[in-house]
Amino acid sequence: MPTRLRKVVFLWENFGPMHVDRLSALARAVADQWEIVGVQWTGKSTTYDWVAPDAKNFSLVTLFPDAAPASISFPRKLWRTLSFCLKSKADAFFFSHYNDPVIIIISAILALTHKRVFGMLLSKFDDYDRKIRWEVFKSLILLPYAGFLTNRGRSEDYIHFLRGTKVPIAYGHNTLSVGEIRSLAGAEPAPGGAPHAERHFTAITRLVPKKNLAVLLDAYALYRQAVAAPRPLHICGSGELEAELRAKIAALNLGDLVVLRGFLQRPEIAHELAQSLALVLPSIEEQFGNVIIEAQAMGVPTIISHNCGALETLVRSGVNGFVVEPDNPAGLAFFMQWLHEDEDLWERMALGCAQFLPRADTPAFVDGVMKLL
Amino acid sequence: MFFWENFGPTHVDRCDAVARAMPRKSVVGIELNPASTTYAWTPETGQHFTKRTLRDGKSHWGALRTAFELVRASVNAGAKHVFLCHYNEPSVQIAAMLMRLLRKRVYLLLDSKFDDRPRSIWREALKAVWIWPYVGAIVGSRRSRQYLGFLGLSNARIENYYDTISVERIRRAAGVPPAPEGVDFHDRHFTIVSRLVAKKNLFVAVDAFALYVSRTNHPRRLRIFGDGGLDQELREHVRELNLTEFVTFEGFQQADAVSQALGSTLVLIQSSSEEQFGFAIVEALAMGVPVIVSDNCGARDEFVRSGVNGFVVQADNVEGIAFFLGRLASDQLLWERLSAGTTAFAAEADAISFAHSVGRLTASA
Repeated sequence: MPTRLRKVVFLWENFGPMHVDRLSALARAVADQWEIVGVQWTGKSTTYDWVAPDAKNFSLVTLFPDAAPASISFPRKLWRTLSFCLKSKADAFFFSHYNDPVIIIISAILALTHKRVFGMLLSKFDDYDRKIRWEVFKSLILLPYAGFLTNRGRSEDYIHFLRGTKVPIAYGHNTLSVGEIRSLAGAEPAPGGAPHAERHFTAITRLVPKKNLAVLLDAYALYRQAVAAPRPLHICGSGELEAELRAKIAALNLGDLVVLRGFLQRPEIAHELAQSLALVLPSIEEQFGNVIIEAQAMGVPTIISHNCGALETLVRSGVNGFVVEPDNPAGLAFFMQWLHEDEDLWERMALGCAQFLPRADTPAFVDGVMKLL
Repeated sequence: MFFWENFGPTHVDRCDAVARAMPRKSVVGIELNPASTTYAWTPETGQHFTKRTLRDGKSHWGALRTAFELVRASVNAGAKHVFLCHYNEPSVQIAAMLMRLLRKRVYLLLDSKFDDRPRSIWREALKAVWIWPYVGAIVGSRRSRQYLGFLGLSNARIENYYDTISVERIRRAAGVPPAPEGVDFHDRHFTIVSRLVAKKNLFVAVDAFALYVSRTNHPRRLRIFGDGGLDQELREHVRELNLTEFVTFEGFQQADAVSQALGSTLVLIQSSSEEQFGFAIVEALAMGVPVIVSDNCGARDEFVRSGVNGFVVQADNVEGIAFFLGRLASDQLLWERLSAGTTAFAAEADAISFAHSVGRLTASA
C-alpha cells in the first residue's frame, strides 16, 4: 500500500508569476514526500495587473473564481476559506496576509485543532510609523503561528520583536526563478548581452506615492544635466500617479528621454532588463522589492533606497549596486552618472550581482519551507 | 536645566549654545559624576552656563538618593524646564516623576533607535508606560523620532538635533582650515575615532582597509583614535594582516587632538554594527571631511547623504568599504566634491540647532 503524501497548503490573495515559481520549485523538490496545494481568493490581484502562468506540479485552487476582489463579503470569505482549510486535511499551512481578519481567525482555529500554521511575513519595523498598542495586538494575532518564512535582516528582527527569539524562522520568502527570468530575456546576463553604451536606466514599479517617483525624476533631471549624452529612463508600471508623473516629466522638459511603458508582463520585463544599465528603486516604503531579484538575475546593478527590504538579502553598496536615502536625488544622480560613465565599474557591479543571488532563487524558498516543516 | 551623567566637550557645546541663544534664561548643567564612566575625556566647564556635580567620584548612591539629589538640584536652580538623559535609569525615572508632580516640564534627551538592538514587545510596552512623565523630547535622528513616536510621544513634541557640536570649537582646535582647504589631498590619512569595543565593528573596518592596501601601490595611513577592551586583539589583527606599517593606534585622545587629526584626514570611517548616533561623524563634517559610515549610525539620518558628503555602507560590507576608500584616495575631484558637500550638513550639526530645538519646546509650554 503506497504511503500517503503529506499535504501542505499555501495561501496568497492571488498568485502571480513568482508564487507559481516558488510552489513549482517546491513541488519538484519534495514530490515524493509532500503534496503541494496553492490557494488564492481570486484570479485577479487587487494590486497588480500580472497574468500568472499555469500552475506546474502543484494544484491551484481559486476560492472565488468569478468574483472581483472587493466584492467578497467578510462572512463569505471566512466561511469558504475556513471550509477549504478544514476539508483539505492538510498537515501544514503557510499563510500570507497575517493581518487580514479572515487569516487572523483561521490561523487561530487551525492552531487550536493542532495544525501547524506558518506565517509568510516580510514586514519591517521601519515600513510605517508604528504604534505600541497596535504592535501588542499584532504580537497576539501572531501567536498561532508555529514559525515564519521571512527574509534576512529587518523582517527577521521584526518577527523576533513580536514573537521572541525562540520562534522558528527560515529565510527565502521573497524568491523567484532566476532561470525562468534569464530564459524569458533571451539574452545573456550583464555584463554580457547588450553593450554598456546601448543600455538605458530602468524603473519597474507601481506608479503610487510610496515608490517616490518624483524624486527619481528630479534625480534623472540632475543626471541629464551632468552628462553629455544622457541615456533614456524607462519607467515600467501603472498606477494612480500616471497623470501627475506625465506632468512632471513635461515640466522638467524630459519628454524625449523618459518613457512611460505602462504595466509589463514578466517576459517584457525580462527583455527590458536585458537592455538595462541599472535598475533604480528609490522607494519611501518597500517591504522587499522583488524586481531587485529580477534585475540581479540579468546582472543589472541596482540603485535602491535603504527602505527596500531586499537590501540585507541582496544588495551591498559598492559591490553590486548603490544604496541611497529616499530624499537624496543628488546622490541618486551621482551614482547614475558613475555607472553611465565608467564601464569598468559597471562591469564589476554586474559581476557582483551573482554574489548573493542564490539567496533569492527558488531553491532558497524550498530550503526555507523544508526547514520549517 | 540639563542633566547628563558627566559633561564632556559636546555637552558643554550644547549648554553654552542654549545659554547664548537665550540670554534672559538661566541655564544650569547637572552632572552626576565628576568623570565619565565610559569616556576618558577631561571634565569640561562651560563659559555661559553654570555646571554642578552631584557627587564626588568616591560615593555610591542608590537610585532613591540620586533621584532625590537630582530633584533637589532642580528645585534649588528654580528650573521650570528640565532636560534629562539616561531615561532608562531608575534614578532618572523616579526624578522625572517627582519633577512632574512638582509641575516642572520634563523633557527626554534620546538617541536610541529601534534598530540598535533586538527588541521585545513586552519590554517596549513597559517602556511606553515608563516615558509618561516626559512632555517632549529632543532626539538624535529620524529613527529616534520614529522610535519615540512608536512608544507614544506625540510627534509635535519631538525636536531634532540632540547630538550636535560646536563647529567653531572643532575648527579652532584643528588649527587648519576645513577641507578641501588646509592640508593637501595627497598628505591626508584615513581616520577612525571610536571606542575599541565590539559594537564598533572595527575588524570589518581593518579588513576593508587591508583590501584597499592590497589594491594600491601607495596606500595612505589609517589612524585609529580610541581605547577599549579590544585594543590588543585589534593590534594582533593588524599584525596578522601585515598592516603595522600603515595602521597607527593613537589611543584615547582629548577633543582638541582629535580635531587636529581631523584637520589632516581624508575620510572618516565609522562602520559600527550598533551606533546610536556617532559624534565623530559630525566632527568630521565640521572639518569638511567626507565620511564612510554604516547605515546603523543614527547620524546618517540627518547628516549623511550617500554620494553627496560621503558614502553609506552596510556593516558587513568589507568589499564596499574598500571600494569607496580606494575611490576617495585616488580621485581628488571626487573627494573635493564630497568635501564641499559637507558644508550645509556641518552648519546643521552645530549646537545652535540644539538651542533652537530647546527654544521651540520651551516656548510651546
